[in-house]
Order: sequence, then C-alpha cells, then structure tokens
Amino acid sequence: MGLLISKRVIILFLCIQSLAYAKTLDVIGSDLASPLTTNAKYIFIPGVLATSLAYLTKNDERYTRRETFDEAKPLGDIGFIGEYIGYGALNISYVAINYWLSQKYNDPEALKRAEVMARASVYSSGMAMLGKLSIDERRPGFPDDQNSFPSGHASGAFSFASVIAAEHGWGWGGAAYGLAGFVAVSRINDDFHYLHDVLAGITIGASFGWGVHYNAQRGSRLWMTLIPVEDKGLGLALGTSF
Amino acid sequence: MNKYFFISIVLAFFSQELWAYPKGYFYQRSFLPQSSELVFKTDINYQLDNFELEDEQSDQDIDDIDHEQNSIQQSILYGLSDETTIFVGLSYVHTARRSRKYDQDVNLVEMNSSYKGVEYAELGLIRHFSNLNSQGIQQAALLTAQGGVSRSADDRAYIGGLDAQASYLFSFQHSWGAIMGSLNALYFGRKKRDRVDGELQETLPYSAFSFWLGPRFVWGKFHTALLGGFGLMTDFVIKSPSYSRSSDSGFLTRGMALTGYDFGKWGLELSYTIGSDVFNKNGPERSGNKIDFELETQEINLAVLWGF
Repeated sequence: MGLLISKRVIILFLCIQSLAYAKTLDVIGSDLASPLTTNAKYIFIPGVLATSLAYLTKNDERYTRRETFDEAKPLGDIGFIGEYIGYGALNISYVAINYWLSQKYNDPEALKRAEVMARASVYSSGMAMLGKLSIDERRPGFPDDQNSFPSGHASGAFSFASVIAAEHGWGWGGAAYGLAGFVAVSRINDDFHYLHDVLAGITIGASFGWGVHYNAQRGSRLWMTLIPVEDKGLGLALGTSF
Repeated sequence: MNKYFFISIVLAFFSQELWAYPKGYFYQRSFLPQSSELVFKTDINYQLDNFELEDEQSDQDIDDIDHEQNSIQQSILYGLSDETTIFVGLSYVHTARRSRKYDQDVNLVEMNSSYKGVEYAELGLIRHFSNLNSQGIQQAALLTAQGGVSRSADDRAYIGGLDAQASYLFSFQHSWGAIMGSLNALYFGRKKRDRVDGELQETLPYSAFSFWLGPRFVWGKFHTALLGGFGLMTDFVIKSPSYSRSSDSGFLTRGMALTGYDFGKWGLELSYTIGSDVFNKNGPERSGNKIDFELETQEINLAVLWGF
C-alpha cells in the first residue's frame, strides 16, 4: 500500500510540474493526443492491435520463478544490461547533452531537441506508470509484483529511439532502435514481463516519441527558449502564453 | 513488362505438424502489377524440419519429429489499382515424409508416414503508401490469410485452422540497391488432428512478432540479398489425452540468402533459408533438468514469375 501511494504521489507531482510550466493545457493536451492526431497513429493503432493479439493468444500458462538467469532465453545472464539501460539513462543523457550544446554554441535547435526528448520521455513514462497503477498483472517470474503491464523500460527505450530517428535520421535511429529492442527483449528474458507487456510499452514509447516530434514540427509551442543575458551569455527562459 | 516483375521471397509455411512459420514478403515497388495487370508466380519448395525435445543433462531425446516435403504453390497477383495488389494462391504437397518418436513415458508409438495433397489456400493484399514515401523510402502493408485442410497417412482428419499475417514492409532505396525489411505480426490458429491411433491432438492458438532486415544488391538485371530475422512468440501448447507439451514464451531466428534475375517478361529467384525456433519449456517432463525445446528448419525455394 505504501508503494502504491508513493506511485500516485509521483504521478500527481508530474502533473503539477507540467501545469506549473504551462498554465494553458493546450501544449500538454496536444502532446498527449499526438499518438492519434499525428502520423504517429500509424504506430499507435497497429501497436494496440498487436498488443491485443499477443494478450488474446496467451494461453494462461504461468511461469515458474527463476532461480538463475543462466538458462534464460534468448539473452542468458546479460539481460541485466537492458534493465540498467532502460531506467532512462539514455533519455536523460540526451537531454543533458543537447541542453549543454544549446548553451555552449547558442543553438536553439539543440534546445528544441532536448525539449522534445524530455517531453516524449515524460509522457511515455507517465503513461506507462498510469497503466501499472490502473492494471494489476503479476510479473511472470516475480508474482508478488503486480506491475507487469505495461513495460516502463520498453516505453522509455522506444521513446528515446523514436526521437533519435526523428531528429537525426535512420542511421542513428536504426542503432537506437536496435538498442531499444535489446532492452525490450531483456525484460522478457529476465521474466519481468510478458510479450504483450513489452508490446504495449513499445507502442507507448514509439507513439509519443514520434507524436511529440510531429507536434513540435507543426508549431507546438516550446516551453524553453534561449535568451541573451549580460556579458554575452545565454540564459534559459521557461514561458507560456496568457 | 519488365518493370512489373514481382520479386517475392516466400518462406515455406509449415502448417501440417506442430508449427507454422512466419512468412516474410519483400518487394520492390516498381515490380508490383499495375492497375488491371496480372502476374503469375510459381514457387517450387523443398523443406526439411526437425522438432525436438531433448534432455541436455542425459543427452537423451524426449520427442524427435523429422519432416521433409516438396511442394509447389501457384499464386496469381492482380493490380486493383497502381497502389493495391491482391493475390490468391494454392499450395500442393507433392511428397512429404514424416517420422515421429515420442518420449518413452508417453503412450504413443513411433510412426513414419508419407502423404501428398493440397496443403493450404492463401488470400492476400499489398497496399503501397505513396503519400508516406520520402527520402527514397518505400513503404507498404501486407495482409494475408491462409487456411489449410489436409490429411496425412496417419490422420483420420486434420483441421488446419486459419493463420494470418499483417506486415509493414519498408525499403530504403540506394543507387546500389536497398536496405529492406519488415515488421510482422503473425497469428497461428487452433489446429486439431484426429489421429488414426485414436489420439485427438490439439495445438492451441499462438502468435509471433518478428523483424527482418538486410541489404539487397542490384547489378543491372541481377540481384542478391542477405537477410536476418528475429522474433518473439507467445505460449506454444499441444494437448492430447496421452501427453502435453507447453512453453511460456519463445523466440525465433532466421537467416536467408537469395539471388535472382530479371529476364524482362519473366524472372527467377532462388532462396535458401535456415531458422530456429526456441521455446522456453515448462512442464513436468524431466522436471528440474535442462530441456532443449526447439524446431530447426532449412528451406530452398525457387520462385518463377511472369507478367501479362
């Protein structure tokens, strides 16, 4: 119960922070709707169907608790790498690096990329957390934990990969998707998730990654902008409209 | 007509026994039939599969099923419009041999059988998305459904169930060829086998999701490609009064090499595919021991296409 309360507090905190940064809800609303109102719908709708198919064809076979990962398939005992990567290190690093680049080189595009990544990551992680709070499903290898659906690691990894592909092209995007795929497979390998959990996480992450990018392309207001300050410096302003 | 040469890679569909393979279709946009045009495709296929359950501690086979078949599939593709192609196909098994050996604790005798006959019928649609193409990227969607009713020498009846596939096809065009691939969702319907020994065996529905990727090189009218695939599967369960086999998840890997030539009004393509489906075994067999549960396959396919 304590853990449940703390998760709800986190959700509420994120909502309040978002509202604090944007008094009007149009930016948040358009971002939240972007999986359906932009070309990201070509990812979201098939993803939902795939998740449903995987869930419906699951024959209610329960996994046994795994004692070691030596025999885990297909990654064996290296699945823990995906777990650590999927905690959001890539997303946070990308935001930090682009923010730093924007400050150092006076590059508004770098700041835009940082914000797109931050928004996509927050929305996808928030949706994943909302799903975990709303739907109780036991993890296959750890049945005491009822947060199996959807996979937060998969949603975070695929929101990262989607923003990379959208902002930097399919060369970098392909590598990023490969890494995200490794994270997603590692969750099944380590018995933390079922296949439909991972597919749901992939759908959420990829939909918001591309959706927020398309939203920014068509002129959605950015929260952060560079402003000149004294002594040839640069500052960061957070603004909204009245 | 040379630009309407349809290049297709067909992975053999093994629907007779316990498994059905994911199918992958790869295509070049310029080679699909245009509106009101017709393309005929013939696939001559040889396939060799081994399904085994092995106790790796004692190195002893629990179940061992070998399957070998020669088949031919005839398909007709028709352009509903410049963007949409429908196709129908029929697969016929010319010769097939199957040997089955089960766990000594299972009350099923070792069986060897051979058969021939219609394997399955197929219906499909390919829709090309011109409005989404940019930067030399071709995109399309593929939908296909296959239904099979066949009988082997050791079956009184076999209901093949309905298998379906939905795929997103993409191709990044370059001067030397393309990087091509697909995302696939596959559904394998319930299959029932009424065996001559009185055993009613049922394979429950399951699904698989796979990803293919690889380069395709073009030199004039000659092309070649190397492709790799990986996918994940849901539960695979076989049930009968005498025994059951189940897994709670699985993954598949594929490798394919192909080469082909465009003769103008017709063309040839030869492909070789190897693959492995590995299942995470659960169940009472040799409880506590490490059980290897997998299906290995090899396939050679010759596709002949000609357009009108």
